[in-house]
Amino acid sequence: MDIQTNEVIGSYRILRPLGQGGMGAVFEVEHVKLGVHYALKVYTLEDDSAELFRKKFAAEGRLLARLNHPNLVRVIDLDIDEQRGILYYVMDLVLYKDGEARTLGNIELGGVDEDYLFGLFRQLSDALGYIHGQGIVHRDIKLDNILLAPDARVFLSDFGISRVVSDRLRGEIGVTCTKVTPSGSGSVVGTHGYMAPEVMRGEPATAASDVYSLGVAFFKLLTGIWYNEDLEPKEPGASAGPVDAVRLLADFERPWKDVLPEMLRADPSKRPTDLSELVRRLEVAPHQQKSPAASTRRRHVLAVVLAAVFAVAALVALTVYLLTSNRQLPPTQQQGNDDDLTRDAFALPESVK
Amino acid sequence: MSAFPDTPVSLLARIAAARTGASEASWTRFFELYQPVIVKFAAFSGAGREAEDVAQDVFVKLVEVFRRSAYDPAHGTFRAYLATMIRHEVVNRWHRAAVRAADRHVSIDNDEHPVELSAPSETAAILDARWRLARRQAAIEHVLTKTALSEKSKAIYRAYVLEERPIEEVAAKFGVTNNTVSQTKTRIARMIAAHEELLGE
Repeated sequence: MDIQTNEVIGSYRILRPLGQGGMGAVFEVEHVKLGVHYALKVYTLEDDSAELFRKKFAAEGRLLARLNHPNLVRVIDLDIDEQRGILYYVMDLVLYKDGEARTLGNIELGGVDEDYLFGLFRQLSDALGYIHGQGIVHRDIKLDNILLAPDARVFLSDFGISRVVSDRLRGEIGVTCTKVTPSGSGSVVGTHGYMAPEVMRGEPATAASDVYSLGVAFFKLLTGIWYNEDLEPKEPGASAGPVDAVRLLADFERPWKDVLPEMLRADPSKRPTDLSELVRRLEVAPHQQKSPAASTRRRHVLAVVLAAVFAVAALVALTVYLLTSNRQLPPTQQQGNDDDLTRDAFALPESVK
Repeated sequence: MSAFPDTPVSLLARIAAARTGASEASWTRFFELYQPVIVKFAAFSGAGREAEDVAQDVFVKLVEVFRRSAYDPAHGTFRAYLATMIRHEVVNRWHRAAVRAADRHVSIDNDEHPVELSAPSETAAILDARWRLARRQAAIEHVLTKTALSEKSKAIYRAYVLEERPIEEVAAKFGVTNNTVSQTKTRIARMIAAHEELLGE
Protein backbone atom coordinates (compact mmCIF):
# COMPACT_ATOMS: atom_id res chain seq x y z
CA MET A 1 0.00 0.00 0.00
CA ASP A 2 1.56 3.24 -1.11
CA ILE A 3 -0.44 6.26 -0.03
CA GLN A 4 1.11 9.68 -0.38
CA THR A 5 0.49 13.00 1.30
CA ASN A 6 -2.11 15.15 -0.52
CA GLU A 7 -3.54 12.10 -2.22
CA VAL A 8 -7.34 12.12 -2.12
CA ILE A 9 -9.21 9.00 -1.10
CA GLY A 10 -12.94 9.36 -1.45
CA SER A 11 -13.69 12.75 0.06
CA TYR A 12 -10.58 12.86 2.19
CA ARG A 13 -7.16 14.36 1.51
CA ILE A 14 -4.25 12.58 3.17
CA LEU A 15 -2.34 14.98 5.44
CA ARG A 16 0.13 12.76 7.27
CA PRO A 17 0.60 9.23 8.59
CA LEU A 18 -0.41 8.71 12.22
CA GLY A 19 0.57 5.14 12.78
CA GLN A 20 0.60 1.57 11.66
CA GLY A 21 -1.81 -0.75 13.39
CA GLY A 22 -1.88 -4.49 13.36
CA MET A 23 -4.37 -4.53 10.54
CA GLY A 24 -3.81 -1.32 8.66
CA ALA A 25 -2.24 2.11 8.43
CA VAL A 26 -3.83 5.22 9.93
CA PHE A 27 -3.60 8.75 8.48
CA GLU A 28 -4.76 12.19 9.45
CA VAL A 29 -7.03 13.41 6.67
CA GLU A 30 -9.09 16.46 5.81
CA HIS A 31 -12.55 16.34 4.33
CA VAL A 32 -12.04 18.14 1.02
CA LYS A 33 -15.33 20.07 1.20
CA LEU A 34 -15.89 20.50 4.91
CA GLY A 35 -12.27 21.05 5.91
CA VAL A 36 -12.75 18.92 9.00
CA HIS A 37 -9.87 16.68 10.08
CA TYR A 38 -10.38 13.00 10.77
CA ALA A 39 -8.38 9.81 11.15
CA LEU A 40 -8.58 7.40 8.21
CA LYS A 41 -7.69 3.76 8.59
CA VAL A 42 -6.75 1.83 5.48
CA TYR A 43 -6.63 -1.87 4.75
CA THR A 44 -5.08 -3.34 1.64
CA LEU A 45 -6.90 -5.79 -0.57
CA GLU A 46 -3.99 -7.64 -1.97
CA ASP A 47 -3.99 -11.10 -0.53
CA ASP A 48 -5.99 -14.21 -1.19
CA SER A 49 -8.35 -13.54 1.65
CA ALA A 50 -9.46 -10.21 0.20
CA GLU A 51 -13.09 -11.18 0.02
CA LEU A 52 -13.16 -12.41 3.60
CA PHE A 53 -11.24 -9.36 4.66
CA ARG A 54 -13.70 -7.17 2.79
CA LYS A 55 -16.57 -8.73 4.70
CA LYS A 56 -14.69 -8.40 7.94
CA PHE A 57 -13.93 -4.77 7.23
CA ALA A 58 -17.53 -3.99 6.45
CA ALA A 59 -18.59 -5.79 9.61
CA GLU A 60 -16.12 -3.83 11.67
CA GLY A 61 -17.28 -0.53 10.22
CA ARG A 62 -20.93 -1.31 10.77
CA LEU A 63 -20.16 -2.51 14.24
CA LEU A 64 -18.28 0.65 15.10
CA ALA A 65 -20.83 2.94 13.52
CA ARG A 66 -23.54 1.74 15.85
CA LEU A 67 -21.52 2.41 18.96
CA ASN A 68 -21.91 5.70 20.77
CA HIS A 69 -19.91 6.32 23.90
CA PRO A 70 -17.72 9.23 25.05
CA ASN A 71 -14.70 6.95 25.39
CA LEU A 72 -15.01 5.10 22.10
CA VAL A 73 -13.66 6.39 18.81
CA ARG A 74 -16.67 7.31 16.63
CA VAL A 75 -16.82 6.05 13.05
CA ILE A 76 -17.80 8.67 10.48
CA ASP A 77 -17.54 6.96 7.13
CA LEU A 78 -16.65 3.69 5.46
CA ASP A 79 -15.90 2.79 1.85
CA ILE A 80 -13.94 0.69 -0.60
CA ASP A 81 -11.64 2.08 -3.27
CA GLU A 82 -11.53 -0.70 -5.84
CA GLN A 83 -9.09 1.15 -8.05
CA ARG A 84 -6.49 1.39 -5.32
CA GLY A 85 -7.44 -1.96 -3.89
CA ILE A 86 -8.06 -0.56 -0.45
CA LEU A 87 -10.72 -0.46 2.19
CA TYR A 88 -10.91 2.48 4.53
CA TYR A 89 -12.97 3.92 7.30
CA VAL A 90 -12.95 7.37 8.76
CA MET A 91 -13.00 8.10 12.47
CA ASP A 92 -12.87 11.02 14.82
CA LEU A 93 -9.34 12.32 15.15
CA VAL A 94 -7.94 11.97 18.66
CA LEU A 95 -4.70 13.85 19.16
CA TYR A 96 -2.74 14.34 22.36
CA LYS A 97 -1.61 17.76 23.55
CA ASP A 98 1.57 17.51 21.48
CA GLY A 99 -0.56 17.22 18.35
CA GLU A 100 0.33 13.56 17.79
CA ALA A 101 -1.76 10.41 18.04
CA ARG A 102 -0.57 9.02 21.36
CA THR A 103 -1.57 5.84 23.05
CA LEU A 104 -0.91 4.66 26.57
CA GLY A 105 1.54 2.26 24.99
CA ASN A 106 3.71 4.81 23.25
CA ILE A 107 3.87 7.59 25.78
CA GLU A 108 6.17 7.81 28.76
CA LEU A 109 3.89 7.76 31.76
CA GLY A 110 6.52 7.75 34.47
CA GLY A 111 5.37 10.02 37.22
CA VAL A 112 1.63 9.69 36.76
CA ASP A 113 -0.02 8.69 39.97
CA GLU A 114 -2.76 6.30 40.81
CA ASP A 115 -5.45 8.97 40.97
CA TYR A 116 -4.80 9.75 37.32
CA LEU A 117 -4.80 6.05 36.52
CA PHE A 118 -8.02 5.61 38.40
CA GLY A 119 -9.55 8.26 36.12
CA LEU A 120 -8.43 6.23 33.12
CA PHE A 121 -9.70 3.03 34.67
CA ARG A 122 -13.11 4.57 35.25
CA GLN A 123 -13.40 5.73 31.63
CA LEU A 124 -12.20 2.47 30.15
CA SER A 125 -14.36 0.36 32.42
CA ASP A 126 -17.33 2.43 31.38
CA ALA A 127 -16.50 2.03 27.70
CA LEU A 128 -15.88 -1.67 28.04
CA GLY A 129 -19.04 -2.18 30.03
CA TYR A 130 -20.91 -0.37 27.27
CA ILE A 131 -19.59 -2.52 24.42
CA HIS A 132 -20.12 -5.68 26.43
CA GLY A 133 -23.67 -4.55 26.96
CA GLN A 134 -23.97 -4.29 23.17
CA GLY A 135 -22.90 -7.90 22.83
CA ILE A 136 -19.41 -7.10 21.61
CA VAL A 137 -16.08 -8.38 22.85
CA HIS A 138 -13.14 -6.15 21.96
CA ARG A 139 -10.54 -8.95 22.06
CA ASP A 140 -7.54 -6.67 21.79
CA ILE A 141 -7.51 -4.48 24.87
CA LYS A 142 -3.99 -3.20 25.28
CA LEU A 143 -2.14 0.01 26.00
CA ASP A 144 -1.48 0.56 22.30
CA ASN A 145 -5.21 0.65 21.63
CA ILE A 146 -6.00 3.35 24.16
CA LEU A 147 -5.75 6.83 22.67
CA LEU A 148 -5.01 9.84 24.85
CA ALA A 149 -6.74 13.19 24.47
CA PRO A 150 -5.39 16.44 25.98
CA ASP A 151 -8.15 16.71 28.58
CA ALA A 152 -7.23 13.46 30.37
CA ARG A 153 -9.87 11.61 28.38
CA VAL A 154 -9.02 8.29 26.83
CA PHE A 155 -10.55 6.53 23.86
CA LEU A 156 -10.69 2.84 23.26
CA SER A 157 -9.85 2.17 19.64
CA ASP A 158 -9.09 -0.51 17.13
CA PHE A 159 -11.99 -2.85 17.06
CA GLY A 160 -10.27 -4.59 14.18
CA ILE A 161 -10.58 -7.95 15.81
CA SER A 162 -13.71 -7.38 17.80
CA ARG A 163 -16.08 -10.23 17.99
CA VAL A 164 -19.78 -9.92 18.08
CA VAL A 165 -21.06 -12.36 20.61
CA SER A 166 -24.71 -11.45 20.52
CA ASP A 167 -26.71 -13.61 18.11
CA ARG A 168 -29.00 -10.73 17.33
CA LEU A 169 -26.13 -8.47 16.34
CA ARG A 170 -24.41 -11.24 14.48
CA GLY A 171 -27.42 -11.57 12.27
CA GLU A 172 -27.66 -7.86 11.65
CA ILE A 173 -24.03 -7.43 10.79
CA GLY A 174 -23.87 -10.51 8.68
CA VAL A 175 -20.47 -11.86 9.61
CA THR A 176 -18.46 -12.33 12.73
CA CYS A 177 -14.79 -11.69 13.01
CA THR A 178 -14.10 -14.80 14.99
CA LYS A 179 -11.87 -16.56 12.54
CA VAL A 180 -10.38 -13.57 10.85
CA THR A 181 -6.92 -12.59 11.97
CA PRO A 182 -4.43 -10.23 10.42
CA SER A 183 -2.90 -13.23 8.75
CA GLY A 184 -6.28 -14.70 7.99
CA SER A 185 -5.12 -17.97 9.40
CA GLY A 186 -6.08 -18.74 12.96
CA SER A 187 -8.66 -18.31 15.62
CA VAL A 188 -6.30 -17.21 18.40
CA VAL A 189 -6.59 -13.46 18.19
CA GLY A 190 -5.16 -10.81 20.44
CA THR A 191 -1.82 -9.57 21.65
CA HIS A 192 0.64 -11.80 23.41
CA GLY A 193 0.90 -10.96 27.07
CA TYR A 194 -2.53 -9.36 27.23
CA MET A 195 -4.41 -12.45 26.15
CA ALA A 196 -6.33 -14.28 28.83
CA PRO A 197 -5.23 -17.87 29.47
CA GLU A 198 -8.36 -19.29 27.86
CA VAL A 199 -7.74 -17.28 24.68
CA MET A 200 -4.15 -18.50 24.62
CA ARG A 201 -5.54 -22.02 24.71
CA GLY A 202 -7.64 -21.23 21.66
CA GLU A 203 -10.97 -20.91 23.41
CA PRO A 204 -13.39 -18.17 22.32
CA ALA A 205 -12.83 -14.76 23.85
CA THR A 206 -15.57 -13.47 26.09
CA ALA A 207 -16.23 -10.30 28.06
CA ALA A 208 -14.19 -11.90 30.86
CA SER A 209 -11.23 -12.09 28.48
CA ASP A 210 -11.41 -8.32 27.98
CA VAL A 211 -11.53 -7.87 31.74
CA TYR A 212 -8.33 -9.91 32.03
CA SER A 213 -6.60 -7.80 29.36
CA LEU A 214 -7.65 -4.59 31.08
CA GLY A 215 -6.20 -6.00 34.29
CA VAL A 216 -2.89 -6.70 32.54
CA ALA A 217 -2.78 -3.15 31.20
CA PHE A 218 -3.37 -1.59 34.61
CA PHE A 219 -0.96 -3.94 36.34
CA LYS A 220 1.72 -2.57 34.02
CA LEU A 221 0.65 1.04 34.50
CA LEU A 222 0.70 0.73 38.29
CA THR A 223 3.76 -1.41 38.91
CA GLY A 224 5.85 -0.71 35.83
CA ILE A 225 6.28 -4.40 35.13
CA TRP A 226 4.41 -6.85 32.97
CA TYR A 227 2.06 -9.31 34.51
CA ASN A 228 2.55 -12.93 33.62
CA GLU A 229 1.63 -16.21 35.08
CA ASP A 230 4.57 -16.48 37.40
CA LEU A 231 3.06 -13.53 39.20
CA GLU A 232 -0.39 -14.95 39.21
CA PRO A 233 -2.12 -14.67 42.55
CA LYS A 234 -3.38 -17.88 44.07
CA GLU A 235 -6.88 -18.46 45.15
CA PRO A 236 -7.47 -17.71 48.83
CA GLY A 237 -6.28 -20.57 50.96
CA ALA A 238 -3.95 -21.95 48.33
CA SER A 239 -0.24 -22.00 48.95
CA ALA A 240 1.63 -18.81 48.20
CA GLY A 241 2.52 -18.24 44.57
CA PRO A 242 6.01 -17.58 43.24
CA VAL A 243 5.78 -13.83 43.52
CA ASP A 244 2.44 -12.70 44.76
CA ALA A 245 1.08 -9.94 42.55
CA VAL A 246 -0.69 -8.56 45.58
CA ARG A 247 2.69 -7.73 47.07
CA LEU A 248 3.43 -5.44 44.16
CA LEU A 249 0.05 -3.76 44.50
CA ALA A 250 -0.30 -3.73 48.25
CA ASP A 251 1.11 -0.31 48.94
CA PHE A 252 -1.02 1.85 46.71
CA GLU A 253 -3.64 3.95 48.39
CA ARG A 254 -6.59 2.63 46.41
CA PRO A 255 -7.47 -1.05 46.79
CA TRP A 256 -5.91 -2.19 43.51
CA LYS A 257 -4.52 -5.18 45.41
CA ASP A 258 -8.07 -6.47 45.78
CA VAL A 259 -9.44 -5.54 42.37
CA LEU A 260 -6.67 -6.45 39.92
CA PRO A 261 -6.01 -9.99 41.16
CA GLU A 262 -9.72 -10.69 40.66
CA MET A 263 -9.55 -9.38 37.08
CA LEU A 264 -6.47 -11.53 36.48
CA ARG A 265 -7.87 -14.81 37.69
CA ALA A 266 -7.00 -17.70 35.42
CA ASP A 267 -10.54 -19.04 35.49
CA PRO A 268 -12.74 -16.69 33.44
CA SER A 269 -15.84 -17.73 35.35
CA LYS A 270 -14.28 -16.32 38.51
CA ARG A 271 -13.46 -12.92 37.05
CA PRO A 272 -15.78 -10.03 37.82
CA THR A 273 -17.87 -8.88 34.88
CA ASP A 274 -19.50 -5.85 36.44
CA LEU A 275 -16.79 -3.27 35.85
CA SER A 276 -18.82 -0.48 37.43
CA GLU A 277 -18.65 -2.39 40.70
CA LEU A 278 -14.86 -2.48 40.44
CA VAL A 279 -14.84 1.27 39.88
CA ARG A 280 -16.95 1.78 42.99
CA ARG A 281 -14.52 -0.29 45.03
CA LEU A 282 -11.58 1.74 43.77
CA GLU A 283 -13.43 5.00 44.17
CA VAL A 284 -12.47 5.52 47.80
CA ALA A 285 -10.28 8.58 47.55
CA PRO A 286 -6.97 8.23 49.37
CA HIS A 287 -7.73 11.11 51.71
CA GLN A 288 -10.94 9.37 52.70
CA GLN A 289 -9.15 6.25 53.72
CA LYS A 290 -8.55 5.79 57.38
CA SER A 291 -5.06 5.83 58.76
CA PRO A 292 -4.52 3.69 61.85
CA ALA A 293 -4.08 6.80 64.01
CA ALA A 294 -7.23 8.37 62.64
CA SER A 295 -9.10 5.14 63.20
CA THR A 296 -7.99 5.08 66.81
CA ARG A 297 -9.11 8.65 67.34
CA ARG A 298 -12.42 7.85 65.69
CA ARG A 299 -12.88 4.86 67.96
CA HIS A 300 -12.32 7.03 71.01
CA VAL A 301 -14.83 9.61 69.86
CA LEU A 302 -17.30 6.85 69.11
CA ALA A 303 -16.84 5.39 72.57
CA VAL A 304 -17.49 8.79 74.21
CA VAL A 305 -20.57 9.39 72.09
CA LEU A 306 -21.91 5.92 72.82
CA ALA A 307 -21.29 6.40 76.52
CA ALA A 308 -23.15 9.71 76.45
CA VAL A 309 -26.04 8.21 74.53
CA PHE A 310 -26.17 5.32 76.93
CA ALA A 311 -26.16 7.65 79.91
CA VAL A 312 -29.00 9.75 78.51
CA ALA A 313 -30.96 6.63 77.59
CA ALA A 314 -30.45 5.24 81.06
CA LEU A 315 -31.56 8.51 82.58
CA VAL A 316 -34.68 8.63 80.44
CA ALA A 317 -35.45 5.01 81.22
CA LEU A 318 -34.97 5.62 84.88
CA THR A 319 -37.20 8.68 84.81
CA VAL A 320 -39.91 6.85 82.93
CA TYR A 321 -39.63 3.94 85.26
CA LEU A 322 -39.86 6.11 88.31
CA LEU A 323 -42.75 8.13 86.95
CA THR A 324 -44.57 4.96 86.08
CA SER A 325 -43.79 3.50 89.48
CA ASN A 326 -45.08 6.64 91.14
CA ARG A 327 -48.51 6.12 89.62
CA GLN A 328 -48.65 2.82 91.40
CA LEU A 329 -47.65 4.21 94.71
CA PRO A 330 -50.10 5.28 97.39
CA PRO A 331 -51.05 8.99 97.05
CA THR A 332 -49.25 10.02 100.20
CA GLN A 333 -45.91 8.57 99.09
CA GLN A 334 -46.35 9.51 95.46
CA GLN A 335 -46.45 13.23 96.04
CA GLY A 336 -43.47 13.40 98.26
CA ASN A 337 -41.33 11.08 96.16
CA ASP A 338 -42.25 12.82 92.92
CA ASP A 339 -41.03 16.13 94.17
CA ASP A 340 -37.85 14.68 95.56
CA LEU A 341 -37.04 12.54 92.61
CA THR A 342 -37.80 15.20 90.06
CA ARG A 343 -35.72 17.67 91.86
CA ASP A 344 -32.89 15.22 92.30
CA ALA A 345 -33.04 13.93 88.79
CA PHE A 346 -32.83 17.32 87.10
CA ALA A 347 -30.96 19.13 89.78
CA LEU A 348 -27.85 20.88 88.68
CA PRO A 349 -24.76 20.53 90.78
CA GLU A 350 -24.15 23.45 93.08
CA SER A 351 -21.04 24.36 91.21
CA VAL A 352 -22.87 25.33 88.03
CA LYS A 353 -25.91 27.01 89.45
CA MET B 1 19.69 -21.99 48.27
CA SER B 2 17.68 -19.07 47.10
CA ALA B 3 14.76 -17.83 49.09
CA PHE B 4 13.45 -16.38 45.86
CA PRO B 5 10.72 -17.97 43.89
CA ASP B 6 10.89 -20.38 41.04
CA THR B 7 10.04 -19.01 37.67
CA PRO B 8 7.64 -21.35 35.95
CA VAL B 9 8.83 -23.40 33.06
CA SER B 10 6.26 -21.63 30.91
CA LEU B 11 8.36 -18.48 31.04
CA LEU B 12 11.39 -20.42 29.90
CA ALA B 13 9.36 -21.99 27.15
CA ARG B 14 8.18 -18.65 25.91
CA ILE B 15 11.67 -17.23 25.96
CA ALA B 16 13.07 -20.23 24.18
CA ALA B 17 10.32 -19.89 21.60
CA ALA B 18 11.41 -16.31 21.05
CA ARG B 19 14.66 -17.67 19.67
CA THR B 20 12.64 -18.45 16.58
CA GLY B 21 10.86 -15.11 16.63
CA ALA B 22 7.66 -16.52 18.00
CA SER B 23 7.50 -14.57 21.22
CA GLU B 24 9.03 -11.19 20.85
CA ALA B 25 6.83 -9.71 23.55
CA SER B 26 8.25 -12.07 26.16
CA TRP B 27 11.77 -11.11 25.27
CA THR B 28 10.96 -7.45 25.40
CA ARG B 29 9.53 -7.84 28.85
CA PHE B 30 12.47 -9.91 29.97
CA PHE B 31 14.90 -7.27 28.79
CA GLU B 32 12.91 -4.48 30.38
CA LEU B 33 12.98 -6.24 33.71
CA TYR B 34 16.62 -7.30 33.77
CA GLN B 35 18.48 -4.70 31.77
CA PRO B 36 18.77 -2.09 34.54
CA VAL B 37 20.24 -4.52 37.04
CA ILE B 38 22.64 -6.05 34.52
CA VAL B 39 23.86 -2.62 33.42
CA LYS B 40 24.42 -1.57 37.03
CA PHE B 41 26.17 -4.79 37.90
CA ALA B 42 28.41 -4.46 34.86
CA ALA B 43 29.21 -0.89 35.83
CA PHE B 44 30.11 -1.93 39.36
CA SER B 45 32.28 -4.69 37.91
CA GLY B 46 34.40 -2.24 35.98
CA ALA B 47 32.62 -2.05 32.62
CA GLY B 48 32.25 1.70 32.96
CA ARG B 49 30.68 3.30 29.93
CA GLU B 50 30.51 -0.05 28.20
CA ALA B 51 28.02 -1.35 30.72
CA GLU B 52 25.13 -1.24 28.25
CA ASP B 53 27.15 -3.13 25.66
CA VAL B 54 27.95 -5.72 28.28
CA ALA B 55 24.25 -6.05 29.03
CA GLN B 56 23.54 -6.70 25.36
CA ASP B 57 26.22 -9.39 25.25
CA VAL B 58 24.73 -10.97 28.31
CA PHE B 59 21.32 -11.09 26.68
CA VAL B 60 22.75 -12.72 23.57
CA LYS B 61 24.30 -15.33 25.81
CA LEU B 62 21.04 -15.78 27.68
CA VAL B 63 19.13 -16.42 24.48
CA GLU B 64 21.59 -19.14 23.63
CA VAL B 65 21.28 -20.68 27.07
CA PHE B 66 17.52 -20.71 26.78
CA ARG B 67 17.68 -22.12 23.28
CA ARG B 68 19.77 -25.03 24.51
CA SER B 69 17.47 -25.51 27.51
CA ALA B 70 20.57 -25.34 29.69
CA TYR B 71 18.61 -24.59 32.82
CA ASP B 72 17.84 -27.63 34.95
CA PRO B 73 15.20 -27.01 37.65
CA ALA B 74 16.84 -29.69 39.76
CA HIS B 75 19.78 -27.36 40.30
CA GLY B 76 17.80 -24.62 41.97
CA THR B 77 15.42 -21.82 41.26
CA PHE B 78 15.44 -20.19 37.89
CA ARG B 79 15.91 -16.73 39.32
CA ALA B 80 18.96 -17.81 41.31
CA TYR B 81 20.32 -19.56 38.25
CA LEU B 82 19.69 -16.52 36.12
CA ALA B 83 21.36 -14.17 38.55
CA THR B 84 24.40 -16.42 38.84
CA MET B 85 24.69 -16.73 35.09
CA ILE B 86 24.44 -12.99 34.62
CA ARG B 87 27.23 -12.46 37.11
CA HIS B 88 29.42 -15.04 35.47
CA GLU B 89 28.75 -13.69 32.04
CA VAL B 90 29.54 -10.11 33.03
CA VAL B 91 32.79 -11.17 34.66
CA ASN B 92 33.76 -13.45 31.76
CA ARG B 93 32.99 -10.73 29.29
CA TRP B 94 35.13 -8.33 31.29
CA HIS B 95 37.84 -10.98 31.43
CA ARG B 96 37.82 -11.46 27.65
CA ALA B 97 37.97 -7.73 27.09
CA ALA B 98 40.89 -7.46 29.47
CA VAL B 99 42.72 -10.21 27.61
CA ARG B 100 42.09 -8.52 24.28
CA ALA B 101 43.29 -5.21 25.65
CA ALA B 102 46.37 -6.83 27.11
CA ASP B 103 47.12 -8.63 23.85
CA ARG B 104 47.42 -5.33 22.12
CA HIS B 105 50.17 -4.25 24.45
CA VAL B 106 51.88 -7.39 25.68
CA SER B 107 53.29 -10.12 23.55
CA ILE B 108 51.76 -13.46 24.22
CA ASP B 109 55.31 -14.80 24.39
CA ASN B 110 56.21 -12.44 27.18
CA ASP B 111 55.91 -14.60 30.25
CA GLU B 112 57.52 -11.98 32.35
CA HIS B 113 54.47 -9.74 32.06
CA PRO B 114 51.39 -11.90 32.62
CA VAL B 115 48.05 -10.25 32.17
CA GLU B 116 46.52 -9.14 35.44
CA LEU B 117 42.95 -10.34 35.67
CA SER B 118 41.49 -9.01 38.83
CA ALA B 119 37.85 -9.78 38.17
CA PRO B 120 38.00 -13.60 38.06
CA SER B 121 40.14 -13.68 41.14
CA GLU B 122 37.72 -11.65 43.15
CA THR B 123 35.90 -13.51 45.79
CA ALA B 124 32.33 -14.62 45.36
CA ALA B 125 31.44 -12.44 48.31
CA ILE B 126 32.47 -9.29 46.49
CA LEU B 127 30.50 -10.29 43.43
CA ASP B 128 27.51 -11.07 45.59
CA ALA B 129 27.76 -7.70 47.26
CA ARG B 130 27.96 -5.95 43.90
CA TRP B 131 24.99 -7.90 42.65
CA ARG B 132 22.90 -7.04 45.71
CA LEU B 133 23.82 -3.39 45.36
CA ALA B 134 22.96 -3.37 41.67
CA ARG B 135 19.69 -5.13 42.40
CA ARG B 136 18.79 -2.71 45.17
CA GLN B 137 19.60 0.34 43.04
CA ALA B 138 17.68 -0.99 40.06
CA ALA B 139 14.67 -1.68 42.28
CA ILE B 140 14.75 1.76 43.89
CA GLU B 141 15.04 3.43 40.51
CA HIS B 142 12.19 1.36 39.15
CA VAL B 143 9.83 2.06 42.02
CA LEU B 144 10.59 5.78 42.01
CA THR B 145 10.24 6.23 38.25
CA LYS B 146 8.00 3.52 36.84
CA THR B 147 5.26 2.99 39.37
CA ALA B 148 2.12 4.98 39.98
CA LEU B 149 2.90 5.96 43.55
CA SER B 150 2.12 9.63 44.04
CA GLU B 151 4.88 12.12 43.36
CA LYS B 152 4.55 13.34 46.90
CA SER B 153 5.17 9.87 48.32
CA LYS B 154 8.19 9.44 46.10
CA ALA B 155 9.56 12.85 47.08
CA ILE B 156 9.12 12.04 50.78
CA TYR B 157 11.02 8.78 50.28
CA ARG B 158 13.82 10.52 48.40
CA ALA B 159 14.21 13.18 51.06
CA TYR B 160 13.94 10.92 54.07
CA VAL B 161 15.72 7.78 52.89
CA LEU B 162 18.00 8.67 49.99
CA GLU B 163 18.98 12.15 51.17
CA GLU B 164 18.78 11.15 54.83
CA ARG B 165 17.02 14.34 55.91
CA PRO B 166 15.67 14.40 59.49
CA ILE B 167 12.11 13.19 59.77
CA GLU B 168 10.90 16.47 61.26
CA GLU B 169 12.36 18.42 58.38
CA VAL B 170 10.77 16.13 55.79
CA ALA B 171 7.44 16.24 57.56
CA ALA B 172 7.50 20.03 57.71
CA LYS B 173 8.56 20.36 54.08
CA PHE B 174 5.71 18.22 52.80
CA GLY B 175 3.12 19.29 55.36
CA VAL B 176 2.60 15.84 56.83
CA THR B 177 3.11 14.21 60.20
CA ASN B 178 6.24 12.33 61.22
CA ASN B 179 4.08 9.24 61.22
CA THR B 180 3.14 9.77 57.58
CA VAL B 181 6.80 10.09 56.63
CA SER B 182 7.53 6.87 58.43
CA GLN B 183 4.59 5.06 56.86
CA THR B 184 5.57 6.28 53.39
CA LYS B 185 9.07 4.96 53.89
CA THR B 186 7.70 1.58 54.94
CA ARG B 187 5.29 1.36 52.02
CA ILE B 188 7.91 2.17 49.42
CA ALA B 189 10.49 -0.07 51.06
CA ARG B 190 8.05 -2.97 50.72
CA MET B 191 7.57 -2.23 47.02
CA ILE B 192 11.31 -2.07 46.51
CA ALA B 193 11.76 -5.39 48.29
CA ALA B 194 9.08 -6.98 46.11
CA HIS B 195 10.78 -5.70 42.97
CA GLU B 196 14.16 -6.95 44.19
CA GLU B 197 12.61 -10.35 44.61
CA LEU B 198 11.62 -10.33 40.97
CA LEU B 199 15.24 -9.83 39.99
CA GLY B 200 16.45 -12.93 41.77
CA GLU B 201 19.12 -13.71 44.31
